[in-house]
Amino acid sequence: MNFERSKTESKANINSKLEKALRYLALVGALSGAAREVQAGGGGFESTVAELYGRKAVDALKQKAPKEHYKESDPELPIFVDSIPTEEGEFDKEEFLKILDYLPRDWFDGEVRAITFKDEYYVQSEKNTVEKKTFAVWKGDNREIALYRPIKNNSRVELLRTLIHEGGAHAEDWVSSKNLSFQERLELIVLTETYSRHPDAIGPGASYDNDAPYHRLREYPAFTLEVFFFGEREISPVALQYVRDYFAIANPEYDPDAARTTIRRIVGLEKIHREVAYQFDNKTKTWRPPQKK
Amino acid sequence: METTTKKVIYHTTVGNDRIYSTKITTVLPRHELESRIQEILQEAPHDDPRRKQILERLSSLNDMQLQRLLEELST
Repeated sequence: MNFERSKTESKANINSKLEKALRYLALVGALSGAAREVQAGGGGFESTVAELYGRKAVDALKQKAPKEHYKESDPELPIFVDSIPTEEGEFDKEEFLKILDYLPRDWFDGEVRAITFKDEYYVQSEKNTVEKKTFAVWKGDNREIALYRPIKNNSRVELLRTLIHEGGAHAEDWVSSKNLSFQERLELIVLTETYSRHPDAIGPGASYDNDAPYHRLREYPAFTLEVFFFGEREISPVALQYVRDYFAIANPEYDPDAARTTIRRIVGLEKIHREVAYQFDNKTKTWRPPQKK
Repeated sequence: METTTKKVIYHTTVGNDRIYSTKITTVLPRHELESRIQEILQEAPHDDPRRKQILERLSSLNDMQLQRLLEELST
């Protein structure tokens, strides 16, 4: 009896593994060819995305881009509506505008209309649930980064991380961007799905919800990019590679490594000058620096 | 088992202090990833078409994608 039950469980187990593996392969496969069918209304892949991430992910993928009217009507740079307090005093907006020169042009230009601050806690729902940990929200409908009270207890660097997270990553991600094509959105989904479950996916000092797939696809790039630019410690080699691959899709002309060095110098943050990948030589059992090409 | 180990040395400056830190990651080589995937697929009935579908796709995946596929099949 027990043997039969364990046989059935084992069969169900391998069935579930095969289904999960095939769903992932459907995503990867869509990059080469099937994407065109999906865009034209093809069925199989669309239902896979809906199953994995929900209907809103399909809608985000299929939205028409670019929406030029946003570019025409928006100011070039986001407007700081209020003064923003940090533990070092008022946030230096000029410094932020200087940093913008080293970020991809379409991260804030036309994507973010305003950066606002309210000296109160963020109220998440009609039930008046106060989420004291949340101090920044990307409001897609208004194209606004809204900052809330806990930011007062945070440093200037923490605020910059927040602006990168909300402005660079969320305002310009595969859901919110007005610039990315269907193919680019799809490539970002597959890239993020591939990297975000890796055990070494991110460096210290950041976390994200690993369980909700749609949430993970949106939060992983946001957390990784903020750590990449403003993390106080190093990020993992896997996350570094993710960032380089991310920009290769979303902003191929952008050099993230050079930009990071400059930005970190501007804010006087501790600087990671270089990363040297040493390879372990199995013959000599020693570490050796990378070979010059 | 053969693994490719990558040691990344970070050279960090905080004020006048220079700090070195290391992080070591272990990445399974491609043939090991493929072999583990094949091993798990052995659990499926040999006439299951999904097994063949997955096997046929392995060569078109990059190393990160193979690692991700292995995770799907392991959990």
